[in-house]
Amino acid sequence: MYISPPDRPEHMYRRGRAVQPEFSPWELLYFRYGVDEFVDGALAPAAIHLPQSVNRGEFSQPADVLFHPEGKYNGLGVVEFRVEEIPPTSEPGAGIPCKFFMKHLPEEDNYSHSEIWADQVPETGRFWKPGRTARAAFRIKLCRRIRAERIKIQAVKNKDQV
Amino acid sequence: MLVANEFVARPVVGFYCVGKHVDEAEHSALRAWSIACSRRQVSMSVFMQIKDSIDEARNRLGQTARLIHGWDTYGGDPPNEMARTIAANVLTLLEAEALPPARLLPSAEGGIAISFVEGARRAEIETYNTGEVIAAIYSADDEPLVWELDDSAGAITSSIEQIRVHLAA
Repeated sequence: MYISPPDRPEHMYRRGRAVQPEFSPWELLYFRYGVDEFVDGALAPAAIHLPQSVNRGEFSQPADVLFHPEGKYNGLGVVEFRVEEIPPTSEPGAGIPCKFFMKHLPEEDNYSHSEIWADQVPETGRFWKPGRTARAAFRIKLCRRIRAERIKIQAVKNKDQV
Repeated sequence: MLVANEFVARPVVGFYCVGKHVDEAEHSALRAWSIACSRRQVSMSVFMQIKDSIDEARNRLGQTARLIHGWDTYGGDPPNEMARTIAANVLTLLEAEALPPARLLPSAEGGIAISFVEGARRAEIETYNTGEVIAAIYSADDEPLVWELDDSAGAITSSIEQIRVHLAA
């Protein structure tokens, strides 16, 4: 079981570093999950929403998403997936066309913080929330790729137990 | 001589000769009784499995009432009364239709998600805090089929049937 260290790892701090908008398709992303969010070997779509916070692997370690100064996330787990596994667009006919992409949104104490965003096609430059069915299809397509072998740190608790 | 244990190891249909003793009348009556018992046991077992799954889902649904904002550690809204009430109705209909869910979870979208799994085939019913309901069927690689439905018993039952057909295909 993961136990958070008392001090935040130094590499998590931003320290004046600039936003890095480019993501490699192979870059790993880390997401915190609870034990019940794995259903029969795959992450449940219920675990994800839009926009969805993750840590980008370029600037972080898997355990960073579980760091909390009071150990609030102790017992939760971490899964990884690649940027290229994010469905790039909504399906034709599923309402207003939209695309999904990564946005680097560093925080002062978590430089790697990023979000999975959505925007209309053509782009507005802002986050745009797709309709219910498009969001559900997106969550299903992403989560069915996140199988048990993508677990980096095994969860032993549910999110409502932290 | 007919021995009860000998029935257990055999296929469930057919005519059997035990040793050199062949008494069709006795054999058929015992066999019919044995099959009836087995079927009752299987029916009870399936019934209990479904009931256990539904009971567990109801228990989980009750627990979601105490969730607070940010319960998912990512700022998610807890399921509200509307989402929980619709989810409870879905469970009632699932019980009536004898389709047990694999899991009931609070959804990071704000609502309740009910998941179904049969091998590589999966399905979801999600009820949201807005009162919206969606159902989805999908497999490993094909495009998920997602549809919105209203919260009426007819619409939910129809979606449950679609899910059943998908899972059994």
